[in-house]
Amino acid sequence: MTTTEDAVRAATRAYGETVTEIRPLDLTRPAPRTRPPRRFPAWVAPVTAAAAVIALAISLVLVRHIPNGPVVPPKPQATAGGAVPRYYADLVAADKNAWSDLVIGDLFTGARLAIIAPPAGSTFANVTGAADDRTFVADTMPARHPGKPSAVTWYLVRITPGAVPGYRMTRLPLPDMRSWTIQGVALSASGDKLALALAPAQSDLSLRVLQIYSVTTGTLLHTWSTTDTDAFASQFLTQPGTPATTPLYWVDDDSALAFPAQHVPPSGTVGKAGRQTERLLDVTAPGGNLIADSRVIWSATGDGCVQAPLVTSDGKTVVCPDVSFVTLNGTGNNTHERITLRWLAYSVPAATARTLYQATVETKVASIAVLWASPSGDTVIVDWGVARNTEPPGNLGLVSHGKFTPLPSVPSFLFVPGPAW
Amino acid sequence: MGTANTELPPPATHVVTALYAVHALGLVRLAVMMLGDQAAAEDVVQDAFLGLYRRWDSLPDASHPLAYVRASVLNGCRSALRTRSRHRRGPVLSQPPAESAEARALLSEEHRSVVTAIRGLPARQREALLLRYYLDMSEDEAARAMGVSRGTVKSATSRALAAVGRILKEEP
Repeated sequence: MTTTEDAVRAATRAYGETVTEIRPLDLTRPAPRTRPPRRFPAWVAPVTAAAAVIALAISLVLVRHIPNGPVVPPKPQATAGGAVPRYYADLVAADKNAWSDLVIGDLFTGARLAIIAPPAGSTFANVTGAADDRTFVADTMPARHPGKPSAVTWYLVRITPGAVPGYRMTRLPLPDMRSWTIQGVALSASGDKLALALAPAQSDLSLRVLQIYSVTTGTLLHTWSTTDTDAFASQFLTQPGTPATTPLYWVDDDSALAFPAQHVPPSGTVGKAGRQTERLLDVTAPGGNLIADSRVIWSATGDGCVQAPLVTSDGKTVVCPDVSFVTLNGTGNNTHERITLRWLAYSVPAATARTLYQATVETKVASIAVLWASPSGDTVIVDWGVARNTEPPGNLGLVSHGKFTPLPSVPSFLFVPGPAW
Repeated sequence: MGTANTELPPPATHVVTALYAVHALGLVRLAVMMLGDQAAAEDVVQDAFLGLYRRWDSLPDASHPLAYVRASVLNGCRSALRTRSRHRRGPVLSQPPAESAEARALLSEEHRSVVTAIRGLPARQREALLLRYYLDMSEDEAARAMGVSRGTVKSATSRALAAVGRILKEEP
């Protein structure tokens, strides 16, 4: 990087940040002026086209003997500049027996592009996405066996909006993990590595393991482990045969991985609050101790976040949903509560917090989630609802610069572990 | 678990408004750097989103509305610069920058020199430089946004950097 490049980057960003307010969109304003009259005579276009055809023909003759190179499958390209992902994959109940289909949807329109049924006798258990909002990895497990260790089967799901059927599902050569309970799943932004948070399914229940696999070859690339049961927020460990609930986040161009940990004081301890933390693990460095080789980037005492916090892809911001209650007038069953929902962004380098958005509801029950965040944490997709099984299910929307813009509701977004982008 | 959701897509108004809420500020900032005038920049961005809204049902690639809007903003900036240069009968790039009072107060002298140097570049070089270093686009992404080849982006960026470096060195 040259000095001039640095200077251009710094100056343009500084200049851009002086613009902080713009007027709202007015879709009723008159259309822009039409194109001015042509500056060239009408015969120029066909003559130019003919010249272009001749040039193209000459080029084709010249390049026809150039040998073809190997065909390289395209790698996922991240949404430009961390733009809001348009397409998501999520699990949705197929019937009362908790069989889950995989749904591919369009966040902006609310349309479902595809509903993928699992192979017979199985159910989709987890899904995770790369940074391009087109590439996903999902796993299936035998249905009707919650609570028992299960072998899983891994699939790569690539979506092609506008095409029929709109997706391609390919089985991956990843291990079936039959000895483990999968606590967390995260596909790298590039789509070529899969991180798995694991706990033993039956023996040595204090062990916590993080493994990284090559998606294309199934090769185990790195393993870290610990017997510190705080890792992966042990209070909320996933039970065998159920979907993973530990969120893992790839950060810094897939060079590090953020994972949660939570210390819960032993029962009966007085005056000691629990501590919720996010740890960052450099996956490019050697080592195999999950705790010793990682560092705490965020922590909160007491209740901490209402749900597990989200770590942005630059690793510099932790977004945390927060709830506070105020009891209003009334007695018994007529008591009302005013609930303030807030989404807080903690700056890791500055150790400061700011409120991204705040909403107040007066109802008995509220769910709250942060589902996606831009690399800087300035734009987030949030959701909250008054009750989990009511329709409409929630208030899904984009928050940017303190403003909430509603998005079409998608019922399954309210269920852990949420959608994959 | 949840129940089936309605399959009816919302009107284009909803989608375009959501896109505007998220991306308009960044695009206005880009246009301000192209034009040096926030009011004109906001007009260009409004027109781009209005165009998206009116063409929503016939977009060539509805899966990339942001790419469409970004290209529209660049086109709008080019048109505005052409119109301005015709009206002023002189090289638009020699016009003093129309910075806001806030920009004047907040920008350091060094940043101001760089911004002024960027404003002095030919439009294509300025576009390439801003897309590559302000929006952090790859050469391929910038080429798609500008509607030119990757080689053109590479050479325009290289010339722009050389010109900015030269101008900064010449400053007392």
